[in-house]
Amino acid sequence: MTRALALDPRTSADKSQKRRSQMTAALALKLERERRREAQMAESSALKKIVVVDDHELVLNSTVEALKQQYADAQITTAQTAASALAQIAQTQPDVAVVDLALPEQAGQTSRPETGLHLLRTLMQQYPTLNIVVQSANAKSLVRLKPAINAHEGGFIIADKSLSLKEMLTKVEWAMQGLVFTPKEMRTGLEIKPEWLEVLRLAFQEGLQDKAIAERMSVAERTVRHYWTQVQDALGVYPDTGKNNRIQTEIRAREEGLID
Amino acid sequence: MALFQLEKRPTATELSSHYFALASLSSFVISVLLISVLVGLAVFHWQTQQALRWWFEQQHQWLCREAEQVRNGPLQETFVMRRQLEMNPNETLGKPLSQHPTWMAQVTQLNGQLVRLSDELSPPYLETSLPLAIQAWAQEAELPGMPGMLGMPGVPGLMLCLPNCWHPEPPARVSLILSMLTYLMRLSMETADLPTAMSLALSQQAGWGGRGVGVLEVRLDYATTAIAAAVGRSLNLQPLIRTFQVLAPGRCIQRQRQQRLIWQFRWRLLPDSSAP
Repeated sequence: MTRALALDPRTSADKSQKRRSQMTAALALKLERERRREAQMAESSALKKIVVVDDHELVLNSTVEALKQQYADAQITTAQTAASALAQIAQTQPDVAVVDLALPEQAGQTSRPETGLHLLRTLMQQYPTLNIVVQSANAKSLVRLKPAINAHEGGFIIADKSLSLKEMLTKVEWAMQGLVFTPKEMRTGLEIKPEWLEVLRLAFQEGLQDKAIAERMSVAERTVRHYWTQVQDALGVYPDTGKNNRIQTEIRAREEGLID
Repeated sequence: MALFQLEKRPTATELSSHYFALASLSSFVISVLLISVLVGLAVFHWQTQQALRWWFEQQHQWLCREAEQVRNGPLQETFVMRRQLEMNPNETLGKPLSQHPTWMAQVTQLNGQLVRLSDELSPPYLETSLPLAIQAWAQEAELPGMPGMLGMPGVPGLMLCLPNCWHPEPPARVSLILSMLTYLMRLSMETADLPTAMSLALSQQAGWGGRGVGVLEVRLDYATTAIAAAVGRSLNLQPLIRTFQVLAPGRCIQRQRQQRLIWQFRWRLLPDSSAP
């Protein structure tokens, strides 16, 4: 290479010029993509509707402030009791509900985790596709709702109140994407349902896409996506920068011996 | 004459029958007294057990309420403090910006301590699952810096063998089982010879009348049979065994198999529980 450069400096200059122009074009393309993505985010943020439920006024305000940082134009409404939360959600039909666990049923009553659990059970029954983030100081009691969480088709994220602001906002974003996240200790053993195994087999052994998987399994494509989020939660696969979620799922599924 | 006839000396047969009547009367009285005393003791014992169980239940509920107070009060305050620091790093109560990371670290530490305190008062999963509660207890016990617990240097890892599903248990009993494990492990770690391997297994066995029996077995292996025997003798676990017997209610059996010491806790499961 050095020899060629020495022999023909003009060719070398041409090559570096070409490389520079390629890099500039790539950078411009990247910037354009970023601009489009930001525009899309702003557009989607403007349309977002969020309901925040917490009995502590200061906590409620802090959470709203934090969400406004990420979703500046979103319509954020609040509720401090289980009853008002149900009313707000029925009225606004939000994209995501951020719910505390210890809540009073009505104003003036004592906050109890059982009330929050009951509210979540009702929400999952009445709004099967609602995205929910449970933000609680004692999220472990949610293990009681495990069967309902598994059956829920919307996003369901358990976010401990000790999470940092950045982590909490990431979890809200995951919920909006319809993902499921439960703490590791809540997943004792690897509980895999037969339909999840079928999705893994069809995707990674037959190479089918979601639409084809849905046709083969005689279910809606949305249900296939729901199976993906469930199996990814069971395998502990969550969005990670620079990593492909489906490939990560395949790797973990092979590690666990779920597919050959 | 008539008086003389009345004062006639009783015959030997009459005396004998009187004697036997008196003897049987006194033995009857003694038996009644003995039975009364035994019944009284049994009633007293039963009432004492009931009172102790009531007291333990009250204590358990009180601790749960305290834990809820911590979770609803100071923990929420630290959440707000943390968010304020995260969202307004330039306005940290008039303190220089350079102190911001220190404040954040302190708030995070305070938050962690409050979580630990609330979990100490009312351990996680008490009301939901015994296996999960034991798993959470083991994770906490194996943390370094817990004096006399499993995170000490030289202590082998605790092997857990827990079922995925378990029957509903009264939260007070789950709390008692965790307390038993804590004391048992703490006492074992205080001996001169540490175990070489430790395991804990939870299982269910069939019991009388179709009711299942919960069995929790703690096994500690030592280097030699002699060391295991010495440790077994040195541990004064009789109060712990009696406490479990009364409060669970159940049984705790200690035995040795070669270099292994075994403690088996057994209790009857709730009647409405179904097999896992």
